[in-house]
Amino acid sequence: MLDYFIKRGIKYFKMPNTFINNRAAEEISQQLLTFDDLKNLRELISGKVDYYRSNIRFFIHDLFIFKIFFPEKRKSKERMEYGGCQAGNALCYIDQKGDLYLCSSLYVNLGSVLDKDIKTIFRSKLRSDVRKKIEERFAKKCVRCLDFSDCQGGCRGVVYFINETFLQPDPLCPYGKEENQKPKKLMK
Amino acid sequence: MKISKLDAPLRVYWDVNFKHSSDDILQKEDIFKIAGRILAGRPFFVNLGEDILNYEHLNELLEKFQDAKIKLSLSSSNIIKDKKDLGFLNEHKLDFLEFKLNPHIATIKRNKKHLDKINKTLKMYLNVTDKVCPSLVVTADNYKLLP
Ligand code: SF4
Repeated sequence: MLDYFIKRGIKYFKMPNTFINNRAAEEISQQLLTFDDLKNLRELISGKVDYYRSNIRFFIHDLFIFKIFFPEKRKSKERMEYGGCQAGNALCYIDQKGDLYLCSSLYVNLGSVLDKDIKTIFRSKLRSDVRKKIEERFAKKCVRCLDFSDCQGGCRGVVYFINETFLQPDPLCPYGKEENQKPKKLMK
Repeated sequence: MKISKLDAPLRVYWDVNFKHSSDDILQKEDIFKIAGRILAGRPFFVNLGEDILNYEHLNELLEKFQDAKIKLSLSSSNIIKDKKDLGFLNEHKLDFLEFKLNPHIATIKRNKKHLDKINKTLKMYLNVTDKVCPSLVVTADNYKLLP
């Protein structure tokens, strides 16, 4: 597909966050990437990353895909537009009925923009409670990891969708799974 | 991570839908009420997306946002069906126009017919991009399906 775009003069390619709403959970789960998908992608583009990067400007939401295309940009500040999850902080999502959500990946309905203005919705207790959780609740192993300041917990919406809690690692983090031994140098 | 501030400039992603007239989809007045509230809600970027098929209403909506001089992007797979539909877009300055591959990739069976369809649509988008905004962004929501 990337080759196809380059041939047609497309200069910008966006891989956005996963849309999570009240569709069937299986349908959403099918869209979520797995380790194998990342592995396949890495293999598919290996040897061509520089070529793609010089021809296309990428907007990549997911940190772990971003790292495949930009392995040298390890620090989050080198990654454009990334300062941790901004759901219900610097961004929000409004659906077709006018309901406002923290983000299209975080299915928490804060109320209808038809009933209240956005400032009032943002002052709600529900928003501040969820924001507090996003900012404070991480898996213990994440907080101990030296890469934590870069990933900041990954996509908090996806983590919440899968686990119904924020206290788990992003499913694409290579060190998140129990069976994966974290390299010692990554431990504090 | 910084604790959230209520006065941070806001990126608003809005799936506005003028297409259907069923009960759960809003009437024009309600859509414009939401637009007004978005404008009052300290936005610096607004992305309008989804099935926007009523060009007259979309035109009005774009005017409303344009006047506020915020960054504006349109992302829909249905905005541009045909070259003749593009006229109104020329009146506006967008920051981005997005071509959502999503509904298309869902039907791609890697055969020539489907690729030709994407090709044709992409060409139309590229043609209009020169006039309305600096860049065309191709978006793949469900990139697991990309061939
Ligand atoms: S939930 Fe947070 S990290 Fe995930 S897409 Fe939304 S803003 Fe990004």
